[in-house]
Amino acid sequence: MASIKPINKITHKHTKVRDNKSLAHAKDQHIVPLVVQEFSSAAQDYPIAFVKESETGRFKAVALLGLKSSENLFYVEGKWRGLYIPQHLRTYPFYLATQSGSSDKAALCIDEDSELISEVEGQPLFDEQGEQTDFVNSLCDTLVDIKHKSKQTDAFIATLLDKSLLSRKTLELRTPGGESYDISGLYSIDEEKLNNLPNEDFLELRNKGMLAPIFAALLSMARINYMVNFKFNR
Amino acid sequence: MNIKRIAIVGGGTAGWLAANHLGAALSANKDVSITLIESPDVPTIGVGEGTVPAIRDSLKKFGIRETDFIRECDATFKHGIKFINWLDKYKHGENNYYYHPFDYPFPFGDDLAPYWLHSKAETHYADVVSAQARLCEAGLAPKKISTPEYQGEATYAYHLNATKFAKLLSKHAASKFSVQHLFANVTNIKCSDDGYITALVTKELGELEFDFYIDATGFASYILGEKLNIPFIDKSDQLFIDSALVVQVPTEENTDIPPYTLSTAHQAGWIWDIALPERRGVGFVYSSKHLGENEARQKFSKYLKEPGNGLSFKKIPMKVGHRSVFWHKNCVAIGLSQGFVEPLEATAILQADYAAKMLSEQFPRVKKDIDSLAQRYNRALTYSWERVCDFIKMHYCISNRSDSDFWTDNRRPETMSEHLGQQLEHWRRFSPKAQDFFSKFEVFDVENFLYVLYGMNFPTTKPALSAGYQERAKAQIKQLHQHSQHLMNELPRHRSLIEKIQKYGLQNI
Repeated sequence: MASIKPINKITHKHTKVRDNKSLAHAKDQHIVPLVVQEFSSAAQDYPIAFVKESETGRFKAVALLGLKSSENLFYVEGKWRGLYIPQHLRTYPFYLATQSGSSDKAALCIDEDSELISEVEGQPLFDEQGEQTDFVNSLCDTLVDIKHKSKQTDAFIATLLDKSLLSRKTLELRTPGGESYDISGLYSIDEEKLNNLPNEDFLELRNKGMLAPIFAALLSMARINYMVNFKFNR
Repeated sequence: MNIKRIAIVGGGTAGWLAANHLGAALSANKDVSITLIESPDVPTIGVGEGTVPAIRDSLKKFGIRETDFIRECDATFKHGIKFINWLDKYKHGENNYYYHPFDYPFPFGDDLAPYWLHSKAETHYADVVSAQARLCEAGLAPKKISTPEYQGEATYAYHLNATKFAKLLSKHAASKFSVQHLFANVTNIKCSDDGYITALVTKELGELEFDFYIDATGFASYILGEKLNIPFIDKSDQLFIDSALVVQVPTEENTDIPPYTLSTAHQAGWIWDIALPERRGVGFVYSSKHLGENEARQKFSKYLKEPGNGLSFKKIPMKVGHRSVFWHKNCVAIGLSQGFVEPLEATAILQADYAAKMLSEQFPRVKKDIDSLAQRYNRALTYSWERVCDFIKMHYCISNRSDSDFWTDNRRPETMSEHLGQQLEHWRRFSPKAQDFFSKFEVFDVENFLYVLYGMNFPTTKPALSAGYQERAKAQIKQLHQHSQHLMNELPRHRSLIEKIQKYGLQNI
């Protein structure tokens, strides 16, 4: 169970956070959210897809980590296999909780139940003077950065939808053994629709700086083959 | 003579549906213009809030997004109709009910009615063939926030605010199909020697000339009925309902919104009850030959749990029947101007949409096209009106209520059409099959008759069941039960989904 509380220099005077290189907290996640600014980097390792949030039905961009629910093919034997680490994975166990009544003031919180929390080893949250350490400030900056970039990612997705560039993908995979395997609920950029865009719409994409992430997303789909190969050949 | 200038007279639901259907069909032709003229003084009928699933196809065809439609028309979802007290309460219990849902009752291809006939005492027919009745009782919506627009986990239609619907349709017709919108009172028509209308005479804008005229003037049937004198075929000998008392009742925030229309029978008719997010539209329909107005108002107050004698209810007299033809020369009536039956199965918007669509799909390009098109149109729609009357009548004549003359009178053989009488005789011995329905223009087909006949416990002779069929039926019922459970767990509560759609909208993929 998570216990997410705002950090404060009194309760958390001696609290430290262990190193999280293995990203063990994400071992059962089959998707992780992405911001559009990291598409080109993420595409080197992960297929980039779009899924609907079940609460709101709205689209978000994700890196596919597994081929089915709760499967993470990138976390293997205590190690993370991907070269690029998506921003959303780098901030655990910290969270930004927006305070009610004020949308731009947010409190930095920590999951007190996390296995990374310790009183003896790891990076401290507060220094001798009770000030937030550089470690904490840097994480806070990342969280704020993610928040801004998420808004830009939403705008990116809104333009894709407006131009009807997303379509539902039912990935039918043939495993090396010849079995058929089905992933549904994923949406991806439709290359044919992109190619058939009227000139002025295509120019708009260029002017908005959307071309690189669009092509990164398209190219990233090839990474699925690597995932299938890894899954069925290890 | 090319037909280029089309006039639609009347700005209610029917008029604007016609504008959009014709706009969608004809807007590629730059020569054609469509103008809707509505009276600034004559109000629309002000009720009419139930639809059937075909409306989704129309909205989609027009290019209207489901998100916009739901947000702008206060729409809620409708799985079907719940009929309450249509059977004798002494035999079937107080508040006995059955559902007529939209889901096709052959979920795995097989007809399970024969199987149900052997076990009917235990389960409602609707529960054997569909999950929808259970979803209704649980107050669940037919889709999720993540379901794409116009798709659903169960077949659905909507309840809507008719005034707002007309407004949305008019905005859309103007922006998408360049339909012109004028305000004027039509005081007369001008005709040529061959009986074709040449112009509308209006009080405010003088004479307006067009080539083709749609009469969407409502009950008045001002052009087709009054000016062109097309006779009205009265069906009051079959369908006794001739009056309605209507009211809108505000609902409290956070109360459940039933995802279905309620139809509660009473001693001389029935009551419709349709829930939108902020208010219910309720109507007490009755036969004035069997119930006096004062008593009707009192009974209605009782249903609404309101004190007083219901003096605030608006009374609408209803003439039941339809015109002998709907397309006369260069005039076609769409909507209430075509005809009317009590809204027991939400047929008003259904027929208007159906008729407008049919007209738009084969619209005359030149005057010479008209004769043969009109003949086909009239034949198809006359048949459909007759079948609609039969289906409505059937709800009454297979009831076993005997608590008033209204109910016993309704079962007299001379009050039903010969066609209906023959069908019912046949269905006493054999359960309904597709082959019992002769035409594409039935409006209500085997699936609808199955739900109503067996919802009302109609006594069909039990057929012999083969072992193979019984095995398949049992397996299918089990599978449907599992599917129902899955839907019960997955689907959100109705009001919660409506609120989410207001907030987040639906995706169109």
